[in-house]
Amino acid sequence: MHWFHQLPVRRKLNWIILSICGLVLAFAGTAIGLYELSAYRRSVVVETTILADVVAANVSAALAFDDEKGARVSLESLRSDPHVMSAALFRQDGATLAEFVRDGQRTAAPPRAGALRAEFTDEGLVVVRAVALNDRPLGTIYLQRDLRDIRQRMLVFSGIVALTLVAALLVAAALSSRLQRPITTPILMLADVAQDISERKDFSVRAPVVTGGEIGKLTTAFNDMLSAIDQGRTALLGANEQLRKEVSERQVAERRVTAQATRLLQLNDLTRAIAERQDVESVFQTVAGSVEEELPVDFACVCTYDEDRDTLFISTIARGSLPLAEEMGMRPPFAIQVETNGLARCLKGELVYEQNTLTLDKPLLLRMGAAGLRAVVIAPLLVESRVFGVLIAARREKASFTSSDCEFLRQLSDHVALAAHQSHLYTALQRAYDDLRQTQQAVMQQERLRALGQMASGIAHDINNAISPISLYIESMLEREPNLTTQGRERLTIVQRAIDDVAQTVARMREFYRQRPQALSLVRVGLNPLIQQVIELTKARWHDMPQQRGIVFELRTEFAPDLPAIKGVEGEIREALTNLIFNAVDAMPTGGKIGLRTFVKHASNGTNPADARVVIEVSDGGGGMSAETRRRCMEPFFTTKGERGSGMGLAMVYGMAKRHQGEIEIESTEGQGTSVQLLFPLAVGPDPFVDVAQHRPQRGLRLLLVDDDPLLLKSVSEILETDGHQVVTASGGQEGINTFTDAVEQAQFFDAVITDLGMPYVDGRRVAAAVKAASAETAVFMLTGWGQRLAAEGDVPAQVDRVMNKPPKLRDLREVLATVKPRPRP
Amino acid sequence: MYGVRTARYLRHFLAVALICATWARAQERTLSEYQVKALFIFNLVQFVEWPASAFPAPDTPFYIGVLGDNPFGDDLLTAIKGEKVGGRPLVLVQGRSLEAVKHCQLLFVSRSERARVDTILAEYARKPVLTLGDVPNFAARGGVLNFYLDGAKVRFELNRAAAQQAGLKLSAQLIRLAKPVGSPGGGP
Repeated sequence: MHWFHQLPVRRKLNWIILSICGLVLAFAGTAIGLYELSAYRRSVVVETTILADVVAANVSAALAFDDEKGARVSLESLRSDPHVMSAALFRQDGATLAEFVRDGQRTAAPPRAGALRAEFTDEGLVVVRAVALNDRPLGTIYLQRDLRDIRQRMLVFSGIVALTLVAALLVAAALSSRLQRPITTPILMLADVAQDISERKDFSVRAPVVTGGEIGKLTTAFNDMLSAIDQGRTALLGANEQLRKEVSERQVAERRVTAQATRLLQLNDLTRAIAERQDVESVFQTVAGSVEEELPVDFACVCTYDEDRDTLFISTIARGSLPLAEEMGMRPPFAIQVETNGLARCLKGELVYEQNTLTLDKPLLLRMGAAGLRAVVIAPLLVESRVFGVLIAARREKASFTSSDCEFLRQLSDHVALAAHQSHLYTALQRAYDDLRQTQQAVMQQERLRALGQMASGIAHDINNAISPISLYIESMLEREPNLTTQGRERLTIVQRAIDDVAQTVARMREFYRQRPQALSLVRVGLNPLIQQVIELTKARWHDMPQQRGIVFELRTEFAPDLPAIKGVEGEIREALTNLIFNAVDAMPTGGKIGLRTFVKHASNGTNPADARVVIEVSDGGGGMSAETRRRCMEPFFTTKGERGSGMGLAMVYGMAKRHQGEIEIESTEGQGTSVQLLFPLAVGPDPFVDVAQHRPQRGLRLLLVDDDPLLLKSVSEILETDGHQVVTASGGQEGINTFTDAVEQAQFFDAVITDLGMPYVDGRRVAAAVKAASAETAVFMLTGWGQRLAAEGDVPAQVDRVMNKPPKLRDLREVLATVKPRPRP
Repeated sequence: MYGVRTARYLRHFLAVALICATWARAQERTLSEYQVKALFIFNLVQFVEWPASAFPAPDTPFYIGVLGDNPFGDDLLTAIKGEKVGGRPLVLVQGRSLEAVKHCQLLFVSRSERARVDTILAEYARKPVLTLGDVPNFAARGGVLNFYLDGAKVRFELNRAAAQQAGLKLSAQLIRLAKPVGSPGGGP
C-alpha cells in the first residue's frame, strides 16, 4: 500500500472510485454468473430427466419383453441429442439390456445401474431413472450428459462480464476525473500554498478563498492558521533572539569563569612547581617558561633590581623567547634604567601595562616595539613591600592582555616573589648550615691536630736536639775556618740550608695547630735566588720521582732581571712556593709544563712605587679548577686530593701572602690549567736588622748551660767557648740547680743560664724558677724545641727572659747574649 | 498405498460381479420357457387396449383363458394373482371347451389344440379377444399373437389384421417388438 500513499490526490481518488466500481461490478457479475450457472444446471437436470423418462417410456416394452434389439434401437434415438454421451438400460435384476455410447468410444467407466439419481460427476451429468409399466418397475435407464455447453455458456458469460467491467471502468474513470475536481483543486491549491510557505518561509501568503462547503471552511481555517502561525512565529523569533542574547552573555560569563579557573589552576601548578625549586635562578626559569607557554605570551623574562644603581638586570629569559631577546639585544644581564623607562611606579609595587609600545617614548618599550612586541606587562616582584625584581611579559598584538591576564600576572608575581624570597632564605640557611658544618669539621680537625701536634712537638724536640750540634758546628765552621776549600764551603752552605729546612719542616708540623706569631722578622729577600733554591729543594718531586714512573715535567723559568727585593721571611716564601710547585705537579698526573715567572707589575694609573708589585707566577697545564673549587680553594682543610691532601697548602700560601701585605691571584680554567700569582709590595728603605756580625760580644760571659742531651751540651758549650765565654754545663735540671746554687754560695755568679725546657724529673721551668730565686739578676734563656709554641701560647714562664728555638743558631745566641750585661767580676 | 486400495476395490467388485452372474444364471435356469411365457402374458395385458365392448359391466374382471392343456402349471396363476388391469382384477380361466373360455378377453391357445386352431380362430373372429397361440403359424392362420422361440429367447408374432378385426389397439412398442405375419389371402 506504500505506493498508494505516494500517489497524488487526484490519482488517489481515481483509484478509489475505479477500484470500488470494479469490485462492485465483479461481485455483481460473479453473483449473476453463479445464479446463471446453477439455473442452467437445474434446467439441464430437468431436461435430461425428461429425456430419460421419455426414453424410458419408449423402452418399457422392450424391457418388459426382454427385447435387447428393440431396446438398443430405442437408445440409439438418443444420438440426436449431441450432449448425450452414453446411455444404458438395466433390467430389474441389474443386468444390462442395452447400451449406447456416442462415437462408439467409451469416455467413462461402464455405467452401472445403482440407485435412482441425478448428479453432476466428472463425466458430466448422470441421470438414472426407473422404467415402469403401470407402476410396476421394469428396470432402470442410465443417461450421461456432457457439460460442454455449460462451460461454453459460462465462458461467454465471463467474456460479457469482463467487457462490461472494462467499459464501466472506462466510463467511471472519465467521470471520476471530471467530478473530483471541485474537491481536489482547492486542496491542491492549499498544498501549493503550504509548500510555498515552507520553501520561502513567507507566512504572509494566503490561499485563494473558495466559498461554501467544507473545502471553503478548510481554506478559511488554513488562512486563519497561517495568520496565527505568522504571529506566533514573530513572537518566537523575538523570544529566540532574546534567548540567544542571554545565552551568549552566559557563555561569555562562563568562558570568563573557565578562564579564571584555568588561570587559577595554572597558578596553582606554577606555585607548586616553584615551591619545588630551591634556587632563585630555577624559580625564575620555571616562571618565565610557564608564563610563556601557558598564558601564553610571545616574550617573557625576569629581571632583578639593583637598588644601588637603580637599574634592572635581565636575569632569566624564557627558552622560547631567546631568539626574540637576541634580536632585541637583550641578553642577560641586560641593564634597564629605571628612571628613563618610567619604571619607578613599577618599583613602587604597581603593575605596569603598556597597551602599545610604539606610542611611548621609552627606550625599553621602543626596543621591544621594534621587535614586534606591542603589548607589555611589567609586574613587580615584591617582598615585604620591597621590590627586588620584575616579571616582564609581552605580546605582539597590541592591547592583547585582558584584565584577567594582568590579574594572573600580578598574582603570579606575588607568588614568585615569595618563592624567590624563600629561596633566598633557603640559600642563606643552607650557607649558614654549610659554614656551621665546616666550622664543626675544622674544630674537629684542629682537635685531632692538637693531639697530633702534642706528639709532633715531642718528635720535633728530639729532632731539634739532634740537629742542633750540626747547625751550630756548620755555622761555626763557616765563620771560623778560613781554610776551607771553596767547594767545602759551598757544600757546608747547602748542608746548613738543608738543616734549616729540616728545622722548618719540623716547625711546620706545629703549624697545623698553632697561630704564627704576629710579628715577623722581615728581611730583604731576593726572590729570584729564592725560587732557584726552591726548584732545587723540590727537584725530587717534579723530576726524580716522576721519572721513575716515566713521567716528565718540564720546568720553565722566566725571571725578570734586576727584580727588586721584597721584605719577607724566606722560609715562609720558600714554603709557599714549594706548595705551589707541588700543586702544579699534582694537577698534571701525566706530566707537562710548569711555568715559574717573576716580574714587576706597575700600577695601572701611576708610577708610584708604592703601588708596584713584585709578582711570582706559578702556572701549570693541568685540570684546572671548577668555579666551586676556585671559590673554596683557599679555605683551610679544603682539598681535592682526598686523603693525600691536608687541605692546608693554599691556605698557608694565602696566610703567608697576607702576612707579607701581599695578594694572591688565581686564574684557572677547567681543563686548561691554573696560574697562581703572588704579589708582594716592594721593599722600601734599608733592612732594619743589624748584621749578625755586629753582635759579636766584646768579652766573655760566665754561662751555665743545662741540657739533658750531652751532644747538644757539648756542641753549644764549644761554640760559646769559641766565642770567648766561660761555660759550665749541667746534664740535668737538678744538676743545673745544684751547680747554680753551689756557685751562688761560693759567690761565683753566672751572667746567664741557658736551659733546656723539656728535661726528665726537673724541667727548664723549675730550673728557671730556682735560678731566679737564687739570683734575680741572672738572665735565664730557655732553649727549646717547643720555644715557638710557648711564645704563641703565652706560656713563657715569668722567670725566663727569652725563649730560643732549637736548633739554636749562632747569631741568635750571640744576639741574645749581647743583651746580657756582664756582672762585674769580683 | 494407492495400488493396494485399487486392488482391494477390484477384488470387491469381482466378488459382487460373480455373485450377480451366478444369480442371473440361476434365474435363467429357473425361469423355464413357460414361466417366461406366463410373465409375457401378464405383460401383454399392459400393452393392449381392449374396446369397451369387451367388458359387459364396469366391474367385470379381466379373464385370461387357457384353452387346452395348461403348460404353465401354477406359474401363470402366480404371475397374475392379485394383479389388476384398468381397475379390473385378473382372473384365470381354463378349459378344454370353447364354452369354458367364452368370456375371456385374452385367450391362450395351448399347443394341444393345434388341430383345431382354425375352428377356434373362426369362433373368435371379430370378437374383442386377444388370441395368443403357442402353436406354429397360429398368427398366420388368423391369430393375433403367437409365441415362438428365437433360439432360447421367447418371441411373438403379430397379425395386425387380426388385431384390427378384433378391435384391439396394440401398443406401438409391442408392434415394434413383434414379428409381423399376414393372414392368408390378405396383406399384413
